[in-house]
Amino acid sequence: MSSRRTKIRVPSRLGYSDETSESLLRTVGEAIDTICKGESEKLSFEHHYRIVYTLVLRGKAPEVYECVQTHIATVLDIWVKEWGRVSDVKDKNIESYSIWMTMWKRQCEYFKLLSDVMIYMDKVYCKPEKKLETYDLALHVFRDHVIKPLFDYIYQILIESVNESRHDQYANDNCVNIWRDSVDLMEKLDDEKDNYFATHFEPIFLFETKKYYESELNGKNLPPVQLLEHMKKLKQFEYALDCRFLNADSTAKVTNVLDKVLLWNQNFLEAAPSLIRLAIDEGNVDLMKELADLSSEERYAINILDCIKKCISDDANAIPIDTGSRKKAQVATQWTTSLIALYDKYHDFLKQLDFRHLTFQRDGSGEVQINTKLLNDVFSNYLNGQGKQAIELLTTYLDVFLKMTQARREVDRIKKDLEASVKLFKLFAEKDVFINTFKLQMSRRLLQHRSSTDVERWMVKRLKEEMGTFFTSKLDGMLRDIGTSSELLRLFRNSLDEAQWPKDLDFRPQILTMTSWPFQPPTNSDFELQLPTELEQLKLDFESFYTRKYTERTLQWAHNLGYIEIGFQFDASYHELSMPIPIGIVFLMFEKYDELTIEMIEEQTNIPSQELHKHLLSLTIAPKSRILKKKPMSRTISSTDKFSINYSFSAPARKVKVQTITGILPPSRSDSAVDLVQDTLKRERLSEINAAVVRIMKAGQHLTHTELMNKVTLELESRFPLTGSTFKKSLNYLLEKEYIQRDPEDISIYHYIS
Amino acid sequence: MSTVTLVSSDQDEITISREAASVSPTLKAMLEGPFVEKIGRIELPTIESRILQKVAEYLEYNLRYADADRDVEEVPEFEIPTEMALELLLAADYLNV
Repeated sequence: MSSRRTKIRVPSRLGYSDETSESLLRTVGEAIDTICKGESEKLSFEHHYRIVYTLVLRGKAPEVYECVQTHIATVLDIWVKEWGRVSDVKDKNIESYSIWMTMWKRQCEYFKLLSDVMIYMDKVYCKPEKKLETYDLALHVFRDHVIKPLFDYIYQILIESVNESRHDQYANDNCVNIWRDSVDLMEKLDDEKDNYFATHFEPIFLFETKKYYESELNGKNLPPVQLLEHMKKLKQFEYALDCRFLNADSTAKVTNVLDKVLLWNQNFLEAAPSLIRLAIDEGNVDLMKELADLSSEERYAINILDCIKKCISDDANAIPIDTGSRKKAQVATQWTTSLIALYDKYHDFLKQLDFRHLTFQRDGSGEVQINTKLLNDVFSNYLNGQGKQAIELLTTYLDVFLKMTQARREVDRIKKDLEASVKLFKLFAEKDVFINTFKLQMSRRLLQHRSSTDVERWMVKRLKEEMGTFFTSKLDGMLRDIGTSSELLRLFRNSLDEAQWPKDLDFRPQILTMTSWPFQPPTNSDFELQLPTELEQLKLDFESFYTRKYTERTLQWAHNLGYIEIGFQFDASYHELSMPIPIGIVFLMFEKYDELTIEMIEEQTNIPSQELHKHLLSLTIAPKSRILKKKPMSRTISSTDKFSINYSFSAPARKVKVQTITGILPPSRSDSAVDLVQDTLKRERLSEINAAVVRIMKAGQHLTHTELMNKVTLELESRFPLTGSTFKKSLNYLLEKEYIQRDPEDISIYHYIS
Repeated sequence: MSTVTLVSSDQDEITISREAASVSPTLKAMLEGPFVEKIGRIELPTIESRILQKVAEYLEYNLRYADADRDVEEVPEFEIPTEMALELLLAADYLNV
């Protein structure tokens, strides 16, 4: 082994050993100049490589490095001077610029060659010393000595040229190539954290783009549709243009800038609403999509949505409500039908648009489509803006259609009309008012058998599905009572002998659970009403039957709610008269008497005189049911009046409903009835709020006033809107009852007292 | 396949494939650039013929086996005569291989 080791030859140095470093450095300098002139074919790569190699080995790398820097700078400076000379001649256009561009491009290729010769220095000196490698160094010098001093000219020339293309809507390949080369070149140059293009050129370019399109649009005064076309054209052109010379990132930035200019200039802001109107009126989904797709910016989408909202709201407000008309049912039906049609129209229209990219749905319910939410918001605003009127109209609509089911024909079609309105229910803020109104009308329908119970049941089921069981428990109770009643009737009939059942008399008892129905409890006048013998007997029979069946229950008769149907042959025609029981009793008295005075009636029926007045008015002056004659004929009732049957009465239909007159009643009474409804509502709401506050406080223990109010509002949102005053009333009540107490330190905090 | 000629200090000419020469970034730059070497003749007046021979051998060897999968084929050992070791090391540094 040891003998072999001695055989290793010690090599001589590979470099030049016979020349001084100064002389070698000079050679390097000359080589740099030659390469930068593009005359490298004169040089031996190996020769110069070896010189650099030698110098680096001699530790002269810093000197070589500096030599590179200064020589490139000198070469470039000469050029810049040249440029200055040329630009004086006002020859600064894209053509002359292109010559420079070509030269610079070539220059960068020479830098590459130079860096090849310097490989050894890069490897041994630059990398370990964390210096720029030769190529990057050269580019830096290029940046500082050429691009920086000439940047103002460069960007002016480029932007001028680009704008020219924009104006002509055409760009020839030559120009685009020059732009692209310039961009490439600038992207090659490092600057701060990014490249020169990104830090210097791009911002100016974006600014100039904005400026160009702003002035382009401001000069135009196009009608909306043409404006949109024009904008689309500009966008398309600009995008295609950018793709040819910019990177994807910058293209996106330009698109963004352009969007801002196009979409937020006065012209388009004014045109957008009419374009949306147009799209909606024509049902032009494509146009709408186009408008919606113009930008994915949230702010823009919100603007579009606002325009759509305005259209919907305008349309809704345009639906006429003929408040003057006496035909309430007709007004309600027309209004509701129009409203549903409008809803459906927009629903179908919006369904075809996609706003899912919007992230601003605050409620976080991703399931609910933004389109439906938007529609519901607008309709909700509209409906609630109409106040109680909207509720009345919609419930009347329901009433009209439900009453149509009495005949049990075309039930499916009617169901469809009812179903169509379901979506509007939950849009009411005051859902409790809606349900109360519906309940009142439903109770009348049920008691008067004016509708199909099956359809009523179906309707209640739909309400339950839409609004929750909270609202429908009483409706269910009413339906249950109706079912139980017919069952009881069957049992009652079976319990009686044929002989006991009065002749020519039908009887349908309706046993109502007091809490389910929206009525006042029976009054004294109900208890004291004197029935004709036959009816009285029937009443007693039923009472004893009922007490036998349900020993624990008490039965109270609410005659005011009951109806009686009496068949009567008038001179010209036979009619079935339907009226509330007390009125019926009055009419039945004429079986025995031809003529009666008020006193006589009052005495025999026990009807309080005020109510009797009302009943007699119903029978004498209600326009469609003048069954009784009055002497003397006048619009008021006085104690001396005498009544008799009006045999000349006739009506187009066999069935005649005696209208209960309320209009001529002293106003105080009807007011008090409204007040009563209002009071009940207030009371119900207050107890709901109390319950909610206690529930929330129990869970939260300590809450500030605002926190508590927000939570309660949220909890009751599905029922009615919470107002500050009722909330305070509730809090005062609960403080007084010591469910909660105020914090002694901070009065805005409440504590739950367990 | 084009070849290039490497010329040693003692004017010996060694021909190897351009591909193999390009294994050395230094040679590659010489061949691809517009310098006098672009014609495919590279004078290396600092490398002796003996060493250059071995260098050429290595370049071909590297080209052949650099991407070889050692599980699939056997890669033979590259023989370096001990006495040449230092000289080869220098040449390798010079040629950046």
